[in-house]
Amino acid sequence: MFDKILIANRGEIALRVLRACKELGIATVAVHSTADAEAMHVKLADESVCVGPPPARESYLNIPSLLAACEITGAEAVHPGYGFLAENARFAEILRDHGIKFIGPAPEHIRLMGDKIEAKRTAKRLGIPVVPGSEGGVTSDAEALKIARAIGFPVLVKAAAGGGGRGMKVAQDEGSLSTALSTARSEAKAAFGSDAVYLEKFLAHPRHIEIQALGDGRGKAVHLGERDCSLQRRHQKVWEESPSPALNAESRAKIGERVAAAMRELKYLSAGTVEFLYQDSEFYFIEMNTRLQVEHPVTEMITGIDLVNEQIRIAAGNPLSITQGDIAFDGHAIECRVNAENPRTFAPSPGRISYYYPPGGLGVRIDSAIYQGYTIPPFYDSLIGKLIVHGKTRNECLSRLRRSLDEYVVDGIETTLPLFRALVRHREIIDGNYDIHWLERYLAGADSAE
Amino acid sequence: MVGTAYLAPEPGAKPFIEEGSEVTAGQTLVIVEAMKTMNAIPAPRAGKVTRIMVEDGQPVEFGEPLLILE
Repeated sequence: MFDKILIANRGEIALRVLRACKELGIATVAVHSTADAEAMHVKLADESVCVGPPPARESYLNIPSLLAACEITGAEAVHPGYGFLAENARFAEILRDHGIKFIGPAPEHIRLMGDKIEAKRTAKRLGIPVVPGSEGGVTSDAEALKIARAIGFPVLVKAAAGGGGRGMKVAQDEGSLSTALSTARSEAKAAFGSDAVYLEKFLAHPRHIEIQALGDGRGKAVHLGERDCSLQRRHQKVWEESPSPALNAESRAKIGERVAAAMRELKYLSAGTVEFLYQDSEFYFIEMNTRLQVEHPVTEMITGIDLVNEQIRIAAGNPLSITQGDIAFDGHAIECRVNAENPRTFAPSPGRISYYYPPGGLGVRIDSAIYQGYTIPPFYDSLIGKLIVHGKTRNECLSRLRRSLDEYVVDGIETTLPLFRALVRHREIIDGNYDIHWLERYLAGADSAE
Repeated sequence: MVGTAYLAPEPGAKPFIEEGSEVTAGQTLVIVEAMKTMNAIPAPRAGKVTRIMVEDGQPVEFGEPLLILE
């Protein structure tokens, strides 16, 4: 096992990793920018090294400084948290070349899954269901019609060189396909200089469901069930829960085993998440995150497995401490990501926390690095805390979440707590009846109601 | 820069500077070793070293004062 780990991150995730290290009896090194000298992860670590000025690219993303920090402190391993360098294959490679363990996947797997086309190709090869579509570009309308009939309407016509929603058209039926093709082609030509387009099945109302996996890098891997992260705003997850209100034990076991088998074949190392769109009882691969995720506590709450502890043990060369048979799903958990933002406009609200009172009680967990008197710097993301609540049933979990949100006080800045207090009381949320567009629709409706 | 500060070009050698030394702009004051690379830290301008704030072989972090040049 390692004697000393450097945590190359800040905020709540740095604290999360630090807690796992302490419980394993491993010494911790915090790194920080000059803006974070008073941060909690610095105060709680055994040692700390200032690695640069406030801009992240000069501090938390500064690979030479981070390596020098390992060198002067004698850290044997680095945990990258999420964000920053967590999915930077080069960083993982440089650490490997310097004989320092990267607590995460192999750089080859980070690189593979970082390339969207390669990732989809790999998923397909490993037997993970992907969105059906044309393999390459479609040239003639006749060919497009043949493919569209095979995958089923509605279909999405996408610019091959596209991005950001441009050159994308939905064809609801055969009659509208040729118009969609010509519009997409001319938009693609204008925007990207190429009129190459391809077809994909269009999912009008999917949920976002992801599977947590854990592998030892030698061909053993398990899945830890799913998380439903359908409540999103601008592709940012806001509320995550497990189990998903849309899955039963059978569908969970089926998709979970499919992912675990793929991870075994890949000889995947460490924690990773395979993300899917889910509609009409079918899963469609979106991407794989080769790192620990923000919402990992939801899984920890219903499985009792400490994912960071597992990551550290695996990185040190130990086998998985659990087999698939050991993993049981107990009760229900929901996470709310509380941000320092205006709850309506989502404008960031950095500043000093004048009063702080986090909720407590059975089944209530707060992962946060803030404290009363702490000043949130304007340089980094706006997440100030994650409230994770566990209950024996989804109903118990919702009641507990409601009272926890009502107890939670963060004064001096604006937070998104009022949004969560409204969500937890909304009929459709209570019923689990929501898809990936629900929150944007709800927010737009709340705006027009004023 | 984060690394290990050295006051002399090699172990046992004469230090680059001492307190009271007069230096010219560009002259090496200390070296900071990071990732097995010796980075010479030059004097930003001419002046007199009034205080050296690090010891030979001491780890230094970003923003840490090394010496005072007047």
